[in-house]
Amino acid sequence: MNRVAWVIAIGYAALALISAGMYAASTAKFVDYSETLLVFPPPRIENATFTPIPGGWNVSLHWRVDNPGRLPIHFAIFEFDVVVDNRSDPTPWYDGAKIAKEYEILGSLQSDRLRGPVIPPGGFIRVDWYVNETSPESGRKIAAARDPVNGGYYITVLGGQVVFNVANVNEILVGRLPRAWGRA
Amino acid sequence: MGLRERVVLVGLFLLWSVLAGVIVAAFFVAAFFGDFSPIRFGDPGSVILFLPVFTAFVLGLLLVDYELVHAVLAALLATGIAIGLVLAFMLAPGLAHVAVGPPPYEGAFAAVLLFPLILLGTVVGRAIGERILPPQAVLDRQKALMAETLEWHEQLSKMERPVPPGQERKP
Repeated sequence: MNRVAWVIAIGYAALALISAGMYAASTAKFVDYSETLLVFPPPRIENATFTPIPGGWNVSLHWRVDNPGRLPIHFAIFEFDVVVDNRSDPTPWYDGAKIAKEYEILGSLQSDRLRGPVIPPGGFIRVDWYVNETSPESGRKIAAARDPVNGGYYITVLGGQVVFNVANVNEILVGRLPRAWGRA
Repeated sequence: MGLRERVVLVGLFLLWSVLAGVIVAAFFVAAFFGDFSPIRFGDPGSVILFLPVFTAFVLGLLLVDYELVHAVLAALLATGIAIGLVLAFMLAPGLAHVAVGPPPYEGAFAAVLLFPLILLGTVVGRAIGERILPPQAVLDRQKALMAETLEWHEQLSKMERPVPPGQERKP
Protein backbone atom coordinates (compact mmCIF):
# COMPACT_ATOMS: atom_id res chain seq x y z
CA MET A 1 0.00 0.00 0.00
CA ASN A 2 1.13 3.54 -0.79
CA ARG A 3 2.65 5.46 2.16
CA VAL A 4 0.06 8.22 1.83
CA ALA A 5 -2.61 5.54 1.89
CA TRP A 6 -1.21 4.33 5.21
CA VAL A 7 -1.68 7.81 6.67
CA ILE A 8 -5.28 7.78 5.42
CA ALA A 9 -5.68 4.31 6.93
CA ILE A 10 -4.61 5.56 10.34
CA GLY A 11 -7.18 8.38 10.19
CA TYR A 12 -9.79 5.89 9.01
CA ALA A 13 -9.03 3.56 11.92
CA ALA A 14 -9.23 6.48 14.36
CA LEU A 15 -12.63 7.46 12.94
CA ALA A 16 -13.74 3.84 13.31
CA LEU A 17 -12.61 3.85 16.93
CA ILE A 18 -14.62 7.01 17.67
CA SER A 19 -17.59 5.52 15.82
CA ALA A 20 -17.40 2.32 17.86
CA GLY A 21 -17.47 4.43 21.03
CA MET A 22 -20.48 6.38 19.75
CA TYR A 23 -22.29 3.17 18.83
CA ALA A 24 -21.58 1.59 22.21
CA ALA A 25 -22.74 4.72 24.06
CA SER A 26 -25.95 4.94 21.99
CA THR A 27 -26.76 1.27 22.52
CA ALA A 28 -26.06 1.45 26.25
CA LYS A 29 -28.29 4.51 26.59
CA PHE A 30 -31.09 2.87 24.61
CA VAL A 31 -30.94 -0.23 26.83
CA ASP A 32 -30.85 1.93 29.99
CA TYR A 33 -33.78 3.97 28.68
CA SER A 34 -35.85 0.88 28.07
CA GLU A 35 -34.90 -0.56 31.44
CA THR A 36 -35.83 2.68 33.21
CA LEU A 37 -39.27 2.58 31.61
CA LEU A 38 -39.67 -1.07 32.49
CA VAL A 39 -38.82 -0.75 36.16
CA PHE A 40 -40.34 2.68 36.87
CA PRO A 41 -43.02 2.04 39.50
CA PRO A 42 -46.09 4.26 39.88
CA PRO A 43 -45.95 6.86 42.66
CA ARG A 44 -47.24 5.63 46.00
CA ILE A 45 -48.57 7.33 49.08
CA GLU A 46 -45.88 7.13 51.71
CA ASN A 47 -47.80 8.97 54.34
CA ALA A 48 -51.02 10.96 54.78
CA THR A 49 -52.01 13.15 57.68
CA PHE A 50 -55.40 14.49 58.68
CA THR A 51 -55.04 17.32 61.17
CA PRO A 52 -57.94 19.29 62.63
CA ILE A 53 -57.60 23.02 62.03
CA PRO A 54 -59.98 25.83 63.01
CA GLY A 55 -63.04 25.40 60.81
CA GLY A 56 -61.99 22.16 59.12
CA TRP A 57 -59.18 19.76 58.39
CA ASN A 58 -55.70 19.92 56.93
CA VAL A 59 -55.25 16.99 54.60
CA SER A 60 -51.66 16.29 53.53
CA LEU A 61 -50.61 13.58 51.13
CA HIS A 62 -46.94 12.67 50.87
CA TRP A 63 -46.17 10.76 47.72
CA ARG A 64 -42.95 8.94 47.04
CA VAL A 65 -41.71 8.43 43.48
CA ASP A 66 -38.86 5.95 43.04
CA ASN A 67 -36.53 5.63 40.08
CA PRO A 68 -34.78 2.27 40.12
CA GLY A 69 -33.54 2.84 36.56
CA ARG A 70 -30.15 4.05 35.37
CA LEU A 71 -31.26 7.30 33.76
CA PRO A 72 -32.80 10.38 35.42
CA ILE A 73 -36.54 10.90 35.14
CA HIS A 74 -37.88 14.40 34.52
CA PHE A 75 -41.20 14.61 36.27
CA ALA A 76 -43.64 16.93 34.47
CA ILE A 77 -47.25 16.29 35.47
CA PHE A 78 -48.75 14.21 38.25
CA GLU A 79 -52.50 13.79 38.64
CA PHE A 80 -54.23 11.60 41.16
CA ASP A 81 -57.67 10.65 42.30
CA VAL A 82 -57.94 9.26 45.82
CA VAL A 83 -60.72 8.72 48.37
CA VAL A 84 -60.48 8.31 52.09
CA ASP A 85 -62.02 4.97 52.98
CA ASN A 86 -64.88 5.28 55.43
CA ARG A 87 -63.85 2.76 58.07
CA SER A 88 -67.10 3.12 60.00
CA ASP A 89 -68.86 1.50 57.03
CA PRO A 90 -68.07 -2.25 56.88
CA THR A 91 -68.66 -2.40 53.10
CA PRO A 92 -65.46 -3.41 51.22
CA TRP A 93 -63.23 -0.51 50.10
CA TYR A 94 -63.68 -1.28 46.40
CA ASP A 95 -67.47 -1.03 46.49
CA GLY A 96 -68.55 1.61 43.97
CA ALA A 97 -71.53 2.88 45.97
CA LYS A 98 -69.35 3.27 49.05
CA ILE A 99 -66.63 5.10 47.12
CA ALA A 100 -69.20 7.53 45.70
CA LYS A 101 -70.08 8.66 49.23
CA GLU A 102 -66.51 9.05 50.53
CA TYR A 103 -64.25 12.08 50.75
CA GLU A 104 -62.50 12.40 47.41
CA ILE A 105 -59.35 14.30 46.49
CA LEU A 106 -58.53 15.15 42.89
CA GLY A 107 -55.08 16.64 43.00
CA SER A 108 -52.30 17.40 40.61
CA LEU A 109 -48.81 18.79 40.21
CA GLN A 110 -48.40 20.67 36.95
CA SER A 111 -44.97 21.49 35.62
CA ASP A 112 -42.88 20.61 32.58
CA ARG A 113 -39.80 18.55 31.80
CA LEU A 114 -37.44 21.49 32.24
CA ARG A 115 -38.82 22.87 35.49
CA GLY A 116 -40.28 19.78 37.14
CA PRO A 117 -38.45 17.73 39.75
CA VAL A 118 -35.79 15.32 38.51
CA ILE A 119 -35.57 11.86 40.02
CA PRO A 120 -31.92 10.77 39.94
CA PRO A 121 -31.03 7.25 38.83
CA GLY A 122 -31.51 4.88 41.75
CA GLY A 123 -33.03 7.67 43.84
CA PHE A 124 -36.45 9.00 44.72
CA ILE A 125 -38.34 12.21 45.32
CA ARG A 126 -41.19 13.13 47.62
CA VAL A 127 -44.16 15.06 46.33
CA ASP A 128 -46.04 16.77 49.12
CA TRP A 129 -49.56 17.92 48.50
CA TYR A 130 -51.99 19.42 50.98
CA VAL A 131 -55.37 21.11 51.22
CA ASN A 132 -57.21 22.88 54.00
CA GLU A 133 -60.69 21.43 53.85
CA THR A 134 -63.25 23.77 55.35
CA SER A 135 -66.52 22.46 54.03
CA PRO A 136 -68.65 20.90 56.82
CA GLU A 137 -69.71 18.03 54.55
CA SER A 138 -66.08 17.10 53.81
CA GLY A 139 -65.15 17.52 57.47
CA ARG A 140 -67.91 15.12 58.45
CA LYS A 141 -66.72 12.55 55.90
CA ILE A 142 -63.10 12.84 57.08
CA ALA A 143 -64.09 12.44 60.70
CA ALA A 144 -66.18 9.38 59.87
CA ALA A 145 -63.40 7.81 57.85
CA ARG A 146 -61.17 7.21 60.87
CA ASP A 147 -60.85 3.54 61.75
CA PRO A 148 -62.75 2.97 65.00
CA VAL A 149 -60.39 0.17 66.04
CA ASN A 150 -56.85 1.46 65.36
CA GLY A 151 -57.59 5.15 64.79
CA GLY A 152 -55.85 5.20 61.42
CA TYR A 153 -56.91 6.43 58.00
CA TYR A 154 -57.08 4.23 54.91
CA ILE A 155 -56.63 5.66 51.45
CA THR A 156 -57.95 4.26 48.21
CA VAL A 157 -56.11 5.34 45.07
CA LEU A 158 -58.67 5.28 42.29
CA GLY A 159 -56.32 6.30 39.50
CA GLY A 160 -54.20 9.03 38.04
CA GLN A 161 -51.30 9.52 35.73
CA VAL A 162 -47.72 10.62 35.60
CA VAL A 163 -46.32 12.47 32.59
CA PHE A 164 -42.55 12.31 32.40
CA ASN A 165 -39.43 12.16 30.26
CA VAL A 166 -36.46 9.89 30.67
CA ALA A 167 -33.13 11.73 30.47
CA ASN A 168 -33.08 14.10 27.49
CA VAL A 169 -35.01 11.76 25.21
CA ASN A 170 -37.62 13.75 23.39
CA GLU A 171 -40.52 11.42 24.05
CA ILE A 172 -43.40 12.26 26.39
CA LEU A 173 -44.29 9.22 28.45
CA VAL A 174 -47.42 8.57 30.45
CA GLY A 175 -47.66 6.20 33.38
CA ARG A 176 -50.94 5.21 35.00
CA LEU A 177 -51.58 4.86 38.70
CA PRO A 178 -53.14 1.49 39.45
CA ARG A 179 -56.02 1.16 41.87
CA ALA A 180 -54.65 0.55 45.35
CA TRP A 181 -55.73 0.63 48.97
CA GLY A 182 -53.83 0.82 52.21
CA ARG A 183 -53.32 2.46 55.57
CA ALA A 184 -51.91 5.93 55.32
CA MET B 1 2.72 -14.34 -3.65
CA GLY B 2 3.55 -16.08 -0.40
CA LEU B 3 1.08 -17.30 2.17
CA ARG B 4 1.99 -14.51 4.56
CA GLU B 5 1.30 -11.79 1.97
CA ARG B 6 -1.95 -13.47 1.06
CA VAL B 7 -3.07 -13.59 4.70
CA VAL B 8 -2.11 -9.93 5.17
CA LEU B 9 -4.09 -8.97 2.05
CA VAL B 10 -7.19 -10.87 3.19
CA GLY B 11 -6.83 -9.53 6.74
CA LEU B 12 -6.58 -5.93 5.58
CA PHE B 13 -9.50 -6.41 3.22
CA LEU B 14 -11.66 -7.69 6.08
CA LEU B 15 -10.38 -5.04 8.51
CA TRP B 16 -11.12 -2.09 6.22
CA SER B 17 -14.54 -3.48 5.33
CA VAL B 18 -15.53 -4.14 8.96
CA LEU B 19 -14.33 -0.68 10.02
CA ALA B 20 -16.41 0.87 7.23
CA GLY B 21 -19.46 -1.01 8.50
CA VAL B 22 -18.83 0.20 12.05
CA ILE B 23 -18.41 3.85 10.97
CA VAL B 24 -21.52 3.83 8.79
CA ALA B 25 -23.66 2.06 11.42
CA ALA B 26 -22.53 4.36 14.24
CA PHE B 27 -23.33 7.52 12.31
CA PHE B 28 -26.58 6.09 10.97
CA VAL B 29 -27.73 5.27 14.52
CA ALA B 30 -26.53 8.66 15.79
CA ALA B 31 -28.45 10.45 13.05
CA PHE B 32 -31.57 8.29 13.05
CA PHE B 33 -31.92 7.82 16.82
CA GLY B 34 -30.41 11.16 17.83
CA ASP B 35 -31.88 11.14 21.35
CA PHE B 36 -29.67 8.24 22.32
CA SER B 37 -26.47 9.46 20.71
CA PRO B 38 -23.70 11.32 22.53
CA ILE B 39 -23.48 13.63 19.48
CA ARG B 40 -26.45 15.51 18.04
CA PHE B 41 -26.52 16.40 14.36
CA GLY B 42 -28.37 19.44 13.12
CA ASP B 43 -29.24 17.77 9.84
CA PRO B 44 -29.52 13.99 10.26
CA GLY B 45 -30.50 13.51 6.60
CA SER B 46 -27.18 14.88 5.36
CA VAL B 47 -25.27 12.60 7.72
CA ILE B 48 -27.24 9.56 6.55
CA LEU B 49 -26.53 10.41 2.91
CA PHE B 50 -23.03 11.86 3.06
CA LEU B 51 -21.22 9.70 5.59
CA PRO B 52 -21.71 6.31 3.87
CA VAL B 53 -20.41 7.81 0.60
CA PHE B 54 -17.43 9.42 2.33
CA THR B 55 -16.55 6.31 4.35
CA ALA B 56 -16.88 4.08 1.30
CA PHE B 57 -14.75 6.51 -0.71
CA VAL B 58 -11.95 6.15 1.84
CA LEU B 59 -12.50 2.38 1.80
CA GLY B 60 -12.07 2.48 -1.97
CA LEU B 61 -8.84 4.46 -1.60
CA LEU B 62 -7.53 1.80 0.76
CA LEU B 63 -8.40 -0.98 -1.67
CA VAL B 64 -6.27 0.16 -4.61
CA ASP B 65 -4.12 -2.96 -4.22
CA TYR B 66 -7.18 -5.12 -4.90
CA GLU B 67 -9.24 -5.89 -7.98
CA LEU B 68 -12.39 -3.90 -8.66
CA VAL B 69 -14.52 -6.93 -7.90
CA HIS B 70 -12.96 -7.03 -4.44
CA ALA B 71 -13.99 -3.43 -3.90
CA VAL B 72 -17.58 -4.40 -4.73
CA LEU B 73 -17.33 -7.31 -2.30
CA ALA B 74 -16.00 -4.94 0.36
CA ALA B 75 -19.01 -2.65 -0.23
CA LEU B 76 -21.34 -5.62 0.25
CA LEU B 77 -19.55 -6.71 3.40
CA ALA B 78 -19.51 -3.18 4.87
CA THR B 79 -23.24 -2.76 4.13
CA GLY B 80 -24.03 -6.12 5.72
CA ILE B 81 -22.10 -5.24 8.85
CA ALA B 82 -23.70 -1.78 9.02
CA ILE B 83 -27.23 -3.19 8.70
CA GLY B 84 -26.42 -5.89 11.24
CA LEU B 85 -25.22 -3.29 13.73
CA VAL B 86 -28.28 -1.08 13.15
CA LEU B 87 -30.52 -4.11 13.76
CA ALA B 88 -28.50 -5.02 16.85
CA PHE B 89 -29.06 -1.50 18.18
CA MET B 90 -32.81 -1.71 17.57
CA LEU B 91 -33.09 -5.11 19.19
CA ALA B 92 -30.66 -4.37 22.05
CA PRO B 93 -33.34 -3.85 24.76
CA GLY B 94 -35.01 -7.11 23.73
CA LEU B 95 -31.68 -8.93 23.82
CA ALA B 96 -31.05 -7.45 27.27
CA HIS B 97 -34.57 -8.55 28.35
CA VAL B 98 -35.63 -5.00 29.22
CA ALA B 99 -37.80 -4.21 26.19
CA VAL B 100 -41.04 -2.36 26.95
CA GLY B 101 -42.48 -2.63 23.47
CA PRO B 102 -41.63 -3.50 19.90
CA PRO B 103 -38.31 -2.20 18.53
CA PRO B 104 -38.43 1.42 17.33
CA TYR B 105 -38.45 0.77 13.59
CA GLU B 106 -39.30 4.36 12.59
CA GLY B 107 -38.23 3.61 9.07
CA ALA B 108 -34.83 2.31 10.11
CA PHE B 109 -35.16 -0.31 7.38
CA ALA B 110 -33.99 2.54 5.17
CA ALA B 111 -30.58 1.20 6.23
CA VAL B 112 -30.89 -1.09 3.22
CA LEU B 113 -30.48 2.02 1.08
CA LEU B 114 -26.95 2.31 2.42
CA PHE B 115 -25.82 -0.28 -0.11
CA PRO B 116 -25.98 1.88 -3.24
CA LEU B 117 -24.30 4.74 -1.39
CA ILE B 118 -21.51 2.51 -0.09
CA LEU B 119 -21.10 0.82 -3.46
CA LEU B 120 -20.88 4.15 -5.22
CA GLY B 121 -18.33 5.50 -2.76
CA THR B 122 -16.18 2.38 -2.86
CA VAL B 123 -16.03 2.14 -6.64
CA VAL B 124 -15.32 5.86 -7.08
CA GLY B 125 -12.74 5.78 -4.30
CA ARG B 126 -11.05 2.74 -5.84
CA ALA B 127 -10.94 4.41 -9.27
CA ILE B 128 -9.60 7.72 -7.95
CA GLY B 129 -7.22 5.91 -5.61
CA GLU B 130 -5.65 4.17 -8.57
CA ARG B 131 -4.83 7.59 -10.02
CA ILE B 132 -3.78 9.50 -6.92
CA LEU B 133 -2.58 6.73 -4.61
CA PRO B 134 -1.11 3.99 -6.81
CA PRO B 135 0.11 0.93 -4.94
CA GLN B 136 3.70 1.06 -3.65
CA ALA B 137 4.64 -1.83 -5.98
CA VAL B 138 3.49 0.19 -8.99
CA LEU B 139 5.43 3.22 -7.76
CA ASP B 140 8.56 1.09 -7.26
CA ARG B 141 8.15 -0.42 -10.72
CA GLN B 142 7.80 3.03 -12.25
CA LYS B 143 10.88 4.22 -10.39
CA ALA B 144 12.89 1.20 -11.52
CA LEU B 145 11.72 1.73 -15.10
CA MET B 146 12.73 5.37 -14.97
CA ALA B 147 16.15 4.46 -13.63
CA GLU B 148 16.60 1.84 -16.33
CA THR B 149 15.54 4.24 -19.05
CA LEU B 150 17.95 6.85 -17.72
CA GLU B 151 20.73 4.30 -17.68
CA TRP B 152 20.00 3.31 -21.30
CA HIS B 153 19.96 6.92 -22.29
CA GLU B 154 23.38 7.48 -20.70
CA GLN B 155 24.77 4.35 -22.35
CA LEU B 156 23.51 5.51 -25.72
CA SER B 157 25.01 8.95 -25.17
CA LYS B 158 28.38 7.40 -24.40
CA MET B 159 28.25 5.19 -27.51
CA GLU B 160 27.65 8.12 -29.82
CA ARG B 161 30.91 9.54 -31.30
CA PRO B 162 31.34 13.26 -31.51
CA VAL B 163 30.81 14.49 -35.12
CA PRO B 164 33.73 16.59 -36.49
CA PRO B 165 32.79 20.13 -37.38
CA GLY B 166 31.65 20.62 -40.98
CA GLN B 167 30.47 16.97 -41.39
CA GLU B 168 26.93 15.77 -41.23
CA ARG B 169 25.93 12.74 -39.19
CA LYS B 170 25.11 9.76 -41.42
CA PRO B 171 21.96 7.92 -40.58
